[in-house]
Amino acid sequence: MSTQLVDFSFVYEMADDDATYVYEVINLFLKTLSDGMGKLEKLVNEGADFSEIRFQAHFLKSSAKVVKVQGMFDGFFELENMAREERDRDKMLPLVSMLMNAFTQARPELEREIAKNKKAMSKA
Amino acid sequence: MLTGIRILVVEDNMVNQKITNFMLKKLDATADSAMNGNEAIELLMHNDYDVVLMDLQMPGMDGYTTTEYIRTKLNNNIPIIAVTADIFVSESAEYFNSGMNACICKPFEPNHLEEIILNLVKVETLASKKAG
Repeated sequence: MSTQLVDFSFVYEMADDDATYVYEVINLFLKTLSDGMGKLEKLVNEGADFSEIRFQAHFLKSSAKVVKVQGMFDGFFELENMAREERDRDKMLPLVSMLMNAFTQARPELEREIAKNKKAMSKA
Repeated sequence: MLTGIRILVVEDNMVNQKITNFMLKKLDATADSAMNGNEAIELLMHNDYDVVLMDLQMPGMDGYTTTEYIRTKLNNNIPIIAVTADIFVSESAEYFNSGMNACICKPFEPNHLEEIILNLVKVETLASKKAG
């Protein structure tokens, strides 16, 4: 079940038509990324320790493997590696901006999928 | 299926926690969740589990530190499966050296998780029978 910007296939493969599960997972993803991206941007903007940036990129990366927003997993992976290798600090902010844009563009699709499953829940 | 098997899921990412718990429910396991190492230790001290799914990166006590505590301070040999998003960890012996018994990469497939858990629980049951 893939749309232009978001691949939901992993979530739906396991769901067995359980709309509540799909609704909860995508909702959690939206919240986790909303909160987490804000924190990541702050860390990079403030020149935080590489270890903190690595930790946060790693944390968000695993969610991006589940609900696959185009470009986000690769972006988190690259940011995590930069932080792990303690290099290219000047390239981190543009990368975070790219990730924020990807998330912002995907948000309508995520919200549509949430609404769709919420409707299915009420019919069940 | 994992009917009758009690599992402690130690995971700070709510998306991953939700998916893992859903998967375990489908496999008919009983699961409790902890958000970090301290919660995991508290649950282990007061409950019986057959296996632990341990996220490696967590705030505060990470998976390695939590495992070392479980082994040395709690003196608990419960099977612990390292859960990681990093493939290079699963290919190294790092998780094994800290006291964990197996490793799985997330996101994982239910049948893969089931196989690892059944193998570990079977080994532990045989070991208990030999000791008892």
